[in-house]
Amino acid sequence: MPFTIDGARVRLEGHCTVEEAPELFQALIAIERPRFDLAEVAHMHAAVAQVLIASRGRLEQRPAERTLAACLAALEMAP
Amino acid sequence: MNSLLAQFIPEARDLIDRAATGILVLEGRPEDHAAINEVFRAVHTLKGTSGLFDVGPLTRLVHAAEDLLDEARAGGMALNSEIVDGLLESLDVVGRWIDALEHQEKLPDGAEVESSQRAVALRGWLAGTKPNSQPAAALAAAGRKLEWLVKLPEAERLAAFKVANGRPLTAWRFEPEEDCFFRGDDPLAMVRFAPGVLALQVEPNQDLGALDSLDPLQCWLTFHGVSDATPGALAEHFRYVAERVEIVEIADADLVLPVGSRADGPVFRDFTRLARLQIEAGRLDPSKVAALTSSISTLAGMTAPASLQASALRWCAALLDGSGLERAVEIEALIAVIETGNAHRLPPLAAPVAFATDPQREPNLGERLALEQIEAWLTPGPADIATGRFEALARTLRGLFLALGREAGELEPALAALRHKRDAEPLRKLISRPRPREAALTPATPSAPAAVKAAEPAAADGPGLPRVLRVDQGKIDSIVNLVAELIVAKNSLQYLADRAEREHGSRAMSREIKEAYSVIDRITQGLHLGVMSVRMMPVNQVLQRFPRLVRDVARALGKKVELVIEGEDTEADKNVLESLADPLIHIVRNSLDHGVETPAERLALGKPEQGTVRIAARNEADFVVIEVSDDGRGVDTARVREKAVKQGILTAERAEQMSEIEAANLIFLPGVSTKDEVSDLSGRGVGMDVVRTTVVKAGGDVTLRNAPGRGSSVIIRLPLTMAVTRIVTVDCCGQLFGIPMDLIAETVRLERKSIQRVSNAEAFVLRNAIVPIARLAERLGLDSGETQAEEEAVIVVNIGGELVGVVVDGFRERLETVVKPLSGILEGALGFSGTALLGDGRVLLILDLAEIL
Repeated sequence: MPFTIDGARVRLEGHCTVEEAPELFQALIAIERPRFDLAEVAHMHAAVAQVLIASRGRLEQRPAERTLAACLAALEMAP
Repeated sequence: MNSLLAQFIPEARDLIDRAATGILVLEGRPEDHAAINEVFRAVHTLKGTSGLFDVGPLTRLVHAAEDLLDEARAGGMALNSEIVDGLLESLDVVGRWIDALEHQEKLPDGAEVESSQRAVALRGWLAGTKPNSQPAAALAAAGRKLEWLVKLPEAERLAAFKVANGRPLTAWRFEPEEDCFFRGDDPLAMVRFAPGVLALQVEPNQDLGALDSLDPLQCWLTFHGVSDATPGALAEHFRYVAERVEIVEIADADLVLPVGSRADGPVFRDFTRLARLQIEAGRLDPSKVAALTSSISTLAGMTAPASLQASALRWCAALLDGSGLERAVEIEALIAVIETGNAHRLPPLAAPVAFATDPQREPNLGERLALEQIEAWLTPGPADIATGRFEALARTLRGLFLALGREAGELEPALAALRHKRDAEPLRKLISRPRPREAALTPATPSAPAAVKAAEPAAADGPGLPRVLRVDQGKIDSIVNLVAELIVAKNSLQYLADRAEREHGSRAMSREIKEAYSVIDRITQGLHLGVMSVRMMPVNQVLQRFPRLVRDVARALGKKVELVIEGEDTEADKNVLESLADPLIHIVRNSLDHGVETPAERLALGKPEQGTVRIAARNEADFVVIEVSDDGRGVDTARVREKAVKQGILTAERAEQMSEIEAANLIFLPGVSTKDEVSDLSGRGVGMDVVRTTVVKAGGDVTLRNAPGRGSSVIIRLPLTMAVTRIVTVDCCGQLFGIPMDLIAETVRLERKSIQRVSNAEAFVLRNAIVPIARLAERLGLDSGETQAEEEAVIVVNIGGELVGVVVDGFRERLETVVKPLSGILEGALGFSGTALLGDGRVLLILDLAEIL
């Protein structure tokens, strides 16, 4: 599974495909203020990205890839 | 070559021709819907098909043309001459690329650059029309175009600005369809891998409520980006989602958007005073720009980085860094932001009152600042600095107008109105008026008609199209040659029948052979007709290039000419048509250059200003006749006579005796050209004599009809087909010769006494006309012996419109045969145009009577 959940901390890695979006979505509904670690993401499908954006979570680690990071600029960095 | 590419090349040429023809029709009749649909379809198909090959630049250029045509088709713009020129030139370029593809299987070097330049030009026209043509909703969308630019992080904008280095950039907005995930699309991947991404921004396109109210499998994101790739390259990248993407060319100045919270302090006022002085100094002496740079960096060090002023300072530095004081207007505008701390209202647009005159138009940074400054000046301030404030405002506005290339003439009265009456309205209007440069900055890609486009091909390729087989011409030619040989071989049966009767005394056998012959003859004729009809093409194949030629030449000569083409459906053999192409071009050029007068001359002569050149094609028996006529000044026969005499072609007496029409036809002789100065159009060292030579070589002839002052027409007659020639064999001194049937007017038998001697030439009277006589034996240098026959066999031939009687010893049979040109050591033999094989295996020499006589 390319995403792991540890409390409020959600870690994504590798290629996150559209198939994972519903599952991630359901998981995020249950989490109050999710914090994302995206350092190891190679690519994420737009469906995954929009779930992250809609969750209003914070970023712990930006994606390493520049354009991916730019796409998720709407998410604030966690303090 | 890849067989798909091999098919594409002729098809592409065909499409280019169709498009070019249609575009010319449109220039004259912009409302012709059939024509615009035809052109659009041709270009659309070309674009679609080219997508199969690795010819990106070609596809993109054609795409730009398609967009322009689409706009024209939607009624958004008229194709004026300039645009028509642009489209035709682009099609020419594509034609050249197709040639290159054929020879090298790749586009020539530099195609990429040329493609983007031309595409930008084409899209420029498209953009230029936008404000009047787009529906209000689309315009409002265009007005929004820069709103989101400010959302891009400043660092990314600064970086993009540096990359742009003064060149235009491309901004795009991509709103994927809601259900795109179900089709396997990943919009994010599409965005990530878009060419030349400099900055990206993603936002939800709806208010996101509670998370659990959303559907994770519907796409609700909108992507924005700035790229240094051309709009064409981006359009290519997003071609599968074209209807969901807006692509806009922006100027780098559009990125200059200072953001942040306002900081206060006297330091900014000091800085702005100093900076303005330094700009003045820098204008006089560029080496002093460094002082400005250092004051900017000093102040930046003292300012909170998140403040508006710091942001403006960073932009100042970026502008200075790139191009020194070339962009002083923008720098001054930024300095004004630093001074007033007042630009927080700039982006996003607060729609001030001044825009009410034209709400759809979006002012650029300079305009917005100018309006801000006016507002600021209108707020009451201390009386002692009022004059200074006004001067500063006036200076900024003058500089702004100068830089934007707008006429400053109206600025001064508007400034006076502001100063003395405190009436800002004239100034606001002046500033909000559309600027000339706007064309390049407005959106280039129409998004609405894309759905229509997708539906188009089905209609175009509907049941109306005939089923067509594309066959290599070489294959057809080899069949034609075989059929021609069959025709010759068939002749041998006739000969065999004669022999059966004469030598073997078997009349019954002879009859049976003759019966067999007639069956084979019938089938052969059918086969011949069938295979010839395959090679038959409408004359239009040759004529379709003329509208373009006439238009270009007429424009170059400053003449107004209408081209009328008649009978373009007339058919003739492909080879015949090909041999016709060059002479026709020359004749038409001649008509335009020497025939049709300039508009002024024509008006003075009481003729309509616009001249007419008419190309009419028709079938006459086994000939195709093409007549090129004009209503110009006609051929000056006096000049022609004079010229011919001067060239030593004629004696003065002979020239005098000639009829007008004979004199006019002298222009087909070498060295007779009515204009003395060589023009670069028709005077390319090719005279009308070359036209005649070419046409005669193809078995035809050419004549001229002339009405001085009212025009002239050149008439070309060519045999419908060249493969099989009908000839009459004649006997001369025991040898057989062939004479092409086309030349023969009639055959007569003359009593010797009716031949009259005129000095040392002979002639006879044929229906009240004197026909000169030539003896073939003499002309060929054969020994005829002294025959004292009562009658002479005379073949009356028509050579270049003149009748000549050729005396031979006797007429033999007529036959259809294939005339092979002389080759090898016979090649240079004068007096013979070729050889043919007789049924009994003998070789027949075909006479070239035009040369012999």
